[in-house]
Amino acid sequence: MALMEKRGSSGKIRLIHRWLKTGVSLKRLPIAGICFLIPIVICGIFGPLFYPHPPTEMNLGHALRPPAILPGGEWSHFLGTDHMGRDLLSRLIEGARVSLIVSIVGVGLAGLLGVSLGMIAGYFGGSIDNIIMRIVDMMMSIPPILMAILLAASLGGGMTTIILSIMVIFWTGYARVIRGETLSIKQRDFVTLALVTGCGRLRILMKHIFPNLVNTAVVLATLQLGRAIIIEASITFLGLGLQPPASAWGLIISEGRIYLSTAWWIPTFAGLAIMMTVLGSNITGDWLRDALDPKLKRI
Amino acid sequence: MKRYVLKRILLGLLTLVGVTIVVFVAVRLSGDATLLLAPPDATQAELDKLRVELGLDKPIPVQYIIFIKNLTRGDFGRSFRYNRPAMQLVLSRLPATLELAILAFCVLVTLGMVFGVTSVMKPGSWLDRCGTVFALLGQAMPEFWIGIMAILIFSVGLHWFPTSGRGGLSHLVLPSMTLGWFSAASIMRLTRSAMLEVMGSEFVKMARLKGNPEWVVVWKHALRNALIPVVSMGGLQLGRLLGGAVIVETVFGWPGLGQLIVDAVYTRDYSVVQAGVMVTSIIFITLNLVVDLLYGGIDPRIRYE
Repeated sequence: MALMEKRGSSGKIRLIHRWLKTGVSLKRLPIAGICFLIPIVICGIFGPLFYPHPPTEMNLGHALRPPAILPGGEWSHFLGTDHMGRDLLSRLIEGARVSLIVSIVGVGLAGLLGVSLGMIAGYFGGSIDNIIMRIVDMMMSIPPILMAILLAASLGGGMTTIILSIMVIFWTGYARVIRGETLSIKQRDFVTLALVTGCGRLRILMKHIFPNLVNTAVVLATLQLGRAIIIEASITFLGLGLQPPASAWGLIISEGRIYLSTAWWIPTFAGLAIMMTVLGSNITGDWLRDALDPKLKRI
Repeated sequence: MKRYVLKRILLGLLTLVGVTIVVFVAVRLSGDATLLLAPPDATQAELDKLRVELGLDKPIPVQYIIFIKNLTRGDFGRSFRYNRPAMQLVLSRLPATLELAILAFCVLVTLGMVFGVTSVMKPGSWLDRCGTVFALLGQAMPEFWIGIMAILIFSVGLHWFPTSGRGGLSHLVLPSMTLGWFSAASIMRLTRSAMLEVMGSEFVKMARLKGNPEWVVVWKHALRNALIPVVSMGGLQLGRLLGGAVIVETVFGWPGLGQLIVDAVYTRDYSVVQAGVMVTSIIFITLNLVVDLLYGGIDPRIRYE
C-alpha cells in the first residue's frame, strides 16, 4: 500500500483500479439482484416525476378498488386503492424513497461510527479496546428490534429516530469485524515500515490501515442494507416509526391489515416491494462479498 | 477452565449492568408518564403530587440508584397501568413467548440443518436449488409480512388455522413457522458453507476410503466437524427469536412477553419495559455463555484460556 501511494494517482481511481484487479469480474454480475434493485432505485430518485397520482391524494369515492386486471378495477389505479382511495402504486413508489433514504443514511452512519471505533479499538488496544468492545457486547445483548422499539418510544416516531435506531443497532457489527481486521493488518510489514519512516499514528490509521478495510466495510454495508430496510418497516409497522400520512411500506401494510379479508392487494403488494428491495440488495451483497472479501463468508 | 467460566460470568454481569443503564435512560427520555396517567383535567398541584408518588420528581441518577437498590431485592417496581409488580407481569407472560420461541427454534434447526446438509450431498440438485431459494426468500421478507400473508392464505382463505390467540397446537403452527423462517435461512446458509469446507478435507476422504456409505460420511464425520459455527449461530438465533417474537406476537395476537413490552411502550409503563428488556437480555446473555461452553464438548480441540 505504501508503495502504491507513491505513484500519485488520485485516491478514487486507485480504489476502483484495485477493485477491478481483485477480481470483480463483470461476467458473474448478479443480474437478478440488479434487476430487482434498478426499478426501486429509479422510483426512489425520480418517483415524484412519474407517479400516476399524488401519494396522499384521497378520494373516498374510489376507496378499496382492486387492481386493474380484476373485475371492478380501473386502469387509472393500476394496483388498486386503499381505504381512503389513495392510489396504491403511487404510495409504493413514494415508499421506495423513504426506505432507501432511511436505510442508506442509517447504515452509512453506522459504518462511519463502527469503522472508526473498530479501527481505534484494534489499533490502540489496551483499555480503549476493552471499553469499546464491552460497549459492543452490551449493545449486542439487547435484541435489535427491542433496541429500536426502545429508541423509537423514547425519542418519538419519525425519520430521524429510525435513522438513529438503525445506526445504534448496526454499528456494533462493523466495530467487531473491523477491529479484527485492524489487528491483523497492524502486524503487516508495511505498517511497521510506515512507523519506521516516521508516520504519525493518525496518518498510519488513515493512509495505511483504512484503505485495506474499505472492501470489508463496503461488503458489510451492502449486506446490512436489507436488514435495515426490514427493521425500518417493522418499527413503522408497530406504529413507532413513520407516522401517517407518510407513505412508508411498513405503514401501508399496517393500515391495510385491517382490510385484509376484503382488500388483500394492499399488504400483498407493499410486502412484495420490501421483498424485492431486500432480495436485490442481499444478492448484490453476497456477490460483492465473494468478489471482494471472501474471508467474510460466515457473516 | 474454571477461571474462564468465572471470567465469562463476570463479563456477563457487567454487560447486564450496562443493559440496565441503557434501558433506564432510554425509557426515562421517553416523556412524562404523569401526563399520561393523570386525568386530562388535573391541576398542576395534582400532577406534582402524582409525580412524587411515582418517584419521578428526583433527578435521574438518584432514580437509577433507587432502581438498582430495589433490583438487588428482586423488586422491579410496579406497573403503573396494571398496579401489579412488573416482574410478576413479565414472568406471567414469559411461558407463552418461550413456548413460541422454542417451537420456532425446533422448526429452524430441523429445516436449516436438513436443507443445509442435503444440499451438500448433491450440489446443484433440485433440493439444493429449493434450499437456496428458501433461504434467500426467508432473509428478504419481514416477519410481520410473512405472518400477514400466512393469515391471508391459511386462515382467511383455507380456514386451516385460527388467525390469532393462544390455545392448542393449531394456534402455534403459523406463528412458529413465521418466526422460524428467517433464522432457518441463516442456519441453512451457514451449515451449507461449513459443510462445503469440511467435505474437502482429508478426514472426509479417509472416511470415504474406509468404505463408509455416503450418508455416514456426511451425517457422522462431516456434520460433527461443521457444527461449531452452526452451534454458535444457533445460540444467537434463539436470542434473535425472542426479539423477533415481539413482532410475530403483535401480528398473531399472541399473549406473550413481546406484546406486553410493546403495549408498555405505548402507555409509557416504565417498570414493565425495564423488566421485560432485562429478562430478555438475561436469557440472551446466558444462552451465549452456554453456547461458548458447549464448544468444548463438540470440538475437543478447543481449549479455554
